[in-house]
Amino acid sequence: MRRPITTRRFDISGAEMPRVAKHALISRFAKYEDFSGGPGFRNLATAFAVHYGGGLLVWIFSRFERRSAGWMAVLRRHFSGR
Amino acid sequence: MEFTTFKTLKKLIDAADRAAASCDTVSFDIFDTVLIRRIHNPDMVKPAVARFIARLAALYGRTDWTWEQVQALRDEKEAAQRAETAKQFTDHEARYPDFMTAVLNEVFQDQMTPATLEKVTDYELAIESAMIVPRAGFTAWIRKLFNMGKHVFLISDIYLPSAHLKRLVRHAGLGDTITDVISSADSFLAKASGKAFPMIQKRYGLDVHRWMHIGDNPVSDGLRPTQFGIKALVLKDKKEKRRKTVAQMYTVFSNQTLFWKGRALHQAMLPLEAENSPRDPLYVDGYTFLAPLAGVFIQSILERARRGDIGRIYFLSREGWTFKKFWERAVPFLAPEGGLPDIRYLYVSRLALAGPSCAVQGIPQTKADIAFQPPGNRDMRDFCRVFGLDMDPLMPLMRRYGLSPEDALSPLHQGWTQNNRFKFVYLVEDPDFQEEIRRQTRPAHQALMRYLETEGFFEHRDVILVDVGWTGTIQRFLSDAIRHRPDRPRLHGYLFAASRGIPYPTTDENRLTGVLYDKDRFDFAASTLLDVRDFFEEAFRAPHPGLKGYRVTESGYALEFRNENDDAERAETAQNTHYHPLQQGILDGAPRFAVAAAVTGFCAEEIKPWIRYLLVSRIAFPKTREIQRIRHKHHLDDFYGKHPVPKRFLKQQKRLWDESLISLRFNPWIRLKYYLFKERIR
Repeated sequence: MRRPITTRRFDISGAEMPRVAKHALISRFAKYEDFSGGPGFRNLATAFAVHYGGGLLVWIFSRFERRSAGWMAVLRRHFSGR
Repeated sequence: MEFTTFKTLKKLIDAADRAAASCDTVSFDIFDTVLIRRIHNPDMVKPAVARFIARLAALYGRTDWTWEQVQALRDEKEAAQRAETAKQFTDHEARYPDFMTAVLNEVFQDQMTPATLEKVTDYELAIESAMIVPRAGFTAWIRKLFNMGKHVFLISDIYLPSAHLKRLVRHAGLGDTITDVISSADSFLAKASGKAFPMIQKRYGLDVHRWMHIGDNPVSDGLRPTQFGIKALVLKDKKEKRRKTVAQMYTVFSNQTLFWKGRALHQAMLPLEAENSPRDPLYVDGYTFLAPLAGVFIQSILERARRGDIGRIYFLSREGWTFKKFWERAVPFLAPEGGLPDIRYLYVSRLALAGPSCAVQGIPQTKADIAFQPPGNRDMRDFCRVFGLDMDPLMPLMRRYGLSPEDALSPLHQGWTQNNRFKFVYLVEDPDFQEEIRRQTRPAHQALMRYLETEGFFEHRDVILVDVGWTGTIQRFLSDAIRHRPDRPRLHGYLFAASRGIPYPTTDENRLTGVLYDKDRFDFAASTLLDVRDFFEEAFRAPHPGLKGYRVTESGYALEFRNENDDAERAETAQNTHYHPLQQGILDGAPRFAVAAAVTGFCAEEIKPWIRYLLVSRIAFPKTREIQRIRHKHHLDDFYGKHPVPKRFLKQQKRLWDESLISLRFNPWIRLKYYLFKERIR
């Protein structure tokens, strides 16, 4: 069946986050590959939240823009890597 | 008058379409409105240009400039110009040709010419063009407006002058539907202060009350035009915001761990808007799985070629065909400064080179044993087929050692004895046998030398040979064939994967390296490549028939291609047709990979953790339907004999992708079993 390369959640068709998470999890126990440190639990959780909850998050932050300014500052600090 | 804000593109276009009935002029903001970027931050393009300038400077002998220094200089010059224009204008605008000329004057000094600025500008616009995507909804609507006779303007507050913006707009396919493109860099009057709108109105004689402006910035595209009396619509697209958040997330992650670098690059490759139409599943596999693999392979070769000692790069048939095309599409973005070796496609094959490789040195035992590496090869008939020999003159020599054409010489086949092995070894050691081999292979060797001379093979001290893999037999044969020549080049072989099933005779003159996988630097994840070698050969293979041999002619030489029109060839043609979307996906992914690599600045080694993940997930742990659609239907190998292979051997060679669909679908442990416990190295 024909399908687009970029999914509706802006993920890669055939290499979606759940698949990445599956291999990261299995490799923790089976120890078959560490992928140079792997994706990391925190980053995986963030990726899931953004891909799967991104629509809701964007709606909340735009609907309650003023009240969520504080949270936005926290997220900006998180995203900037500082 | 207030401006209206819309949360979705569709709602904005519906409202604007209704309002357009009472407008003669519709103007748009450009970036993040009509055109979106694959990356979240437009400044990410600048380091790619800085790297280009630094490399160009190095080619001119100015090796003291790093890209970070060039970038810092650019920021300094741009800021200086903005401070200067701020003295006369409200908007602190800059103009690209001005500050970039200042940058290049300082970097290149007396070597700076107008052509240098043109080269840098061309590259920056090429990268920008590759990074921008027209919004499908706006493209169609703009065309409709233009056809209705409306004035359509694109306005941007940016340092690129309108001449440059027009190139970007033309590349995006909007060039013939726009009245004009206006940039703040030309007049230093920007939308941000509102000064741009009166200037545009005066220049084009527009009626303010019949003018609508659309953009994404509430101040520049909302408040300022409204203050001037223009109807303004502002787009705050939630979906686009979400997409940019995803892109930003991966960029931040890529600064934290190696694993995410490849993922961030892969995200920047993704098609958007009208590009992201539903595709054949094989095309998707080619684009999302094979293109990054090929990209890392080509990027590694490019990094090696940059050292400056390589005279030429030869892509060996037939898999080299796809690699060469990938190189041609990727290198303009990865290495725009040039200075790279010339590339050629070389028609070779194991079958065509086997004979000529024996013409001077004869055939040592290790090479003779290569004939029996394919499990379908059994006896002297296969040996003669592989090395292109006529058996009749060899018969008396074989009888000398009691060897007949039917005697099994491979331990895989029935009838093999240790005694047969000894007879074969004594035969190979016989000087008369060696002389007969040399005599028979001399004409093909002569034709090969003529062909290589035509291809300029002996004009350089060092050459790179690019092939898919796996034991380096082609390079081994080529090296033997040219060993007698004093003008022979040093061979640097780069394979997609090197299994080293037969020890390779590495010397200073003859080296072999596996890029994605090399047994000498064992990598468990990448070793999964070895399980599906035929698939990779089929995926990268050229659509032309395989080469059988070289023949001397009056005019020089002739290449003899397979042209037997038999079942095998028809099956191969069917396989080519089946894999055409896959190959198209690989080649379409080439420029996207290259631009993403140029913008992110990641080298091949940094991307490899993500590549290893792709290999494990797609080869070792594929979904059943992925195997079903992607596993090749037919693989032709003329090196391979037609003798039936014993079932016990076939059972040993069985891999995950050979399993039945029922096993793949219903056995939950089958993938883990093959990945962890099945021997891969051979």
